[in-house]
Amino acid sequence: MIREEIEVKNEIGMHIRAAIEFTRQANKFESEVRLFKDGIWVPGKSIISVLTLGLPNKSRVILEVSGEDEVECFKTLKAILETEKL
Amino acid sequence: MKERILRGIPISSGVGIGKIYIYQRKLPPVEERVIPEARLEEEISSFRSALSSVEGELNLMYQKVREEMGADIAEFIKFQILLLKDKTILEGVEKIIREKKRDAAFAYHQVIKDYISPMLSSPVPFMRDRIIDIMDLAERILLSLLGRTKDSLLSLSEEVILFAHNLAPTDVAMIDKRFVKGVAVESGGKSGHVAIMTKAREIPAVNGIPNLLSQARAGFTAIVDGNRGVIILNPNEKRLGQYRREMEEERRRRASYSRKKEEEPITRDGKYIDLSANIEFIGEVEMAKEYGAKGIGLFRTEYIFLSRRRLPTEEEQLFFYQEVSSKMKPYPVIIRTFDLGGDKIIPGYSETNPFLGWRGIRVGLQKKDFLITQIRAILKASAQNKNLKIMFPMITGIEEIQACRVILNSVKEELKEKRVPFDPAIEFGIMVETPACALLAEKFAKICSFFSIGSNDLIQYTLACARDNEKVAHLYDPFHPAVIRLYKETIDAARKNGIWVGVCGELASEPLGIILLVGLGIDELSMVPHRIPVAKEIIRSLEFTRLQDTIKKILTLSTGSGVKRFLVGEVKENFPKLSAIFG
Repeated sequence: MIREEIEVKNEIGMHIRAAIEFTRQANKFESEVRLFKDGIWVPGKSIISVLTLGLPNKSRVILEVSGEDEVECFKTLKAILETEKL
Repeated sequence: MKERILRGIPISSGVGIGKIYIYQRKLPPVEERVIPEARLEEEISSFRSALSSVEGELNLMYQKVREEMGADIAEFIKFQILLLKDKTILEGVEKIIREKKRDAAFAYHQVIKDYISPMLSSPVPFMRDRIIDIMDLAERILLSLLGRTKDSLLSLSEEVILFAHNLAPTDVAMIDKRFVKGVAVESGGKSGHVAIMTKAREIPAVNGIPNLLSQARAGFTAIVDGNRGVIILNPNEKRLGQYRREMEEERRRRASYSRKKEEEPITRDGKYIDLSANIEFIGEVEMAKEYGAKGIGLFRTEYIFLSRRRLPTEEEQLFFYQEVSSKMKPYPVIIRTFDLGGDKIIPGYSETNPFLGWRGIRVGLQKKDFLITQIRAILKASAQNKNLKIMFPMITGIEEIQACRVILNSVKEELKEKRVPFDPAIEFGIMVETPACALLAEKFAKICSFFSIGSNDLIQYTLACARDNEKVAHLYDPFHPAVIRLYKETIDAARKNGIWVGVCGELASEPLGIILLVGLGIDELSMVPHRIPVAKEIIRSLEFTRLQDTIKKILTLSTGSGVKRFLVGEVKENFPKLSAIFG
């Protein structure tokens, strides 16, 4: 199980494309994916949950991944959350 | 019935007249039914069936929208498909069916309701807008459970104007243009999905009209004027007459253009002028081709950035560039690197004078990763059809273009080392939009493969006036002798050094502007797609050699109004057929 606090550099709550990308990638893996913010855990494979979570730029969220392919999964999802390269 | 004029935001040009059809989305009434234990599995099975059939509908819609309007717009539908498959929602529904022994429609409604409520009060318009996607999906699923499909927009038999509070992407995708002649929407702004899609489908549309529905009566006549951003309720006879005449003009023009689509933009004495299109969305490529564009003279890449509110990844950009390249081949596509102001790149950044500030290539050269990623994506995309070119905006000095060249070469080296294919002969050029650049065109012509004159900005910088400042907007004059000298300087430098030069600003599509620019020796004109046919008609009436006398005379004049007067006089005398275009 990998759990890490990540600073979001990608306005995932603000745009479809980012939420779709995160969810789509999450669904490609076997592992369980959860996001924790403001006192609640939401399933990372659920587009509606990710979209409504609201992850504005510079917010902090805990990403937790557990399963057989957790290493690859975590890496991929973390990258999406941190995609802004400036 | 009194005529009433309502104002809104013009989001898609054109005029439509028809009977008001009020489109109210309503979720089908859901009765709560108790399901006996023995039939629970059957109910779950019905639910899964409904999902499956709606998924099929949405997949078809996704393909259609992707094909007609581009992958970016189709993402809205993709969102609905993912929503349909969302395990959290599905588990919630099955739980209610099994544990509370209620029917699927009721269960689905319960689950969705809980997600929509918080979104309703979101301060972010984008989030509130997504509610319509969820409602649209819910409606389809509920209808499917009732054994019906969504058909409200398909049972039309007369010409209507669609009035709505809001429209889902699938709604706009499904509009039958034979019957729906225009769209009027209460909510929304210039860049939401309704604006993008009605523009892509060329359906006249106006949105941002508060209290539209409370003022509209179904069945009464209305006019949608997507050119002026106006809705007219109960138009009187005179008004109807005016608009019908306007529409007839447009119809006639279009008919003659489609006949003339295959004609070449070539002057009477044989000079060929390239006519290209300015675009921002993949979906506009089809329109460009339809209007006869033989290339994309300006592919603005800012939209790729602005629609995400973050830097697009290299993959995302690559996809865009490949799409446009493939759709336009064998014709060239000129991709302009991001031309954004610093405030778009760094949240919270603001300048007192953005027009003279940190934007365009200045941002690119300071935020190099940004520029490198874009160039890498363009190079990779260039491999397949070898029809891409790169253009750098807001250039004022030789050092800038040299720095760009260094970056370009280093990315090429990197790709070569990694054995990633790209077009080794890819050309790069610059936007000539600052006086510095135009005055030094001779030097730039030795480094670049082409120029594209950005007349809008060049005029503003040269005449020191902002178009959007009403106090000085009247000073903006494309025919001011000072600016004409800059066009000439640029074009002459290009000719002397054997590179081609085009114009991508508004002047390229203005009748008098076309005559001036062709006379000055321009090679290419790039404009909004629907103006290409007029440009072609004008070019075909001109004689380049005759125009040289016109130009000589123009260069002796001292005022913009003098130049315009002279040009109009020339048209009347030497190109009488064109007089009609000038009205």
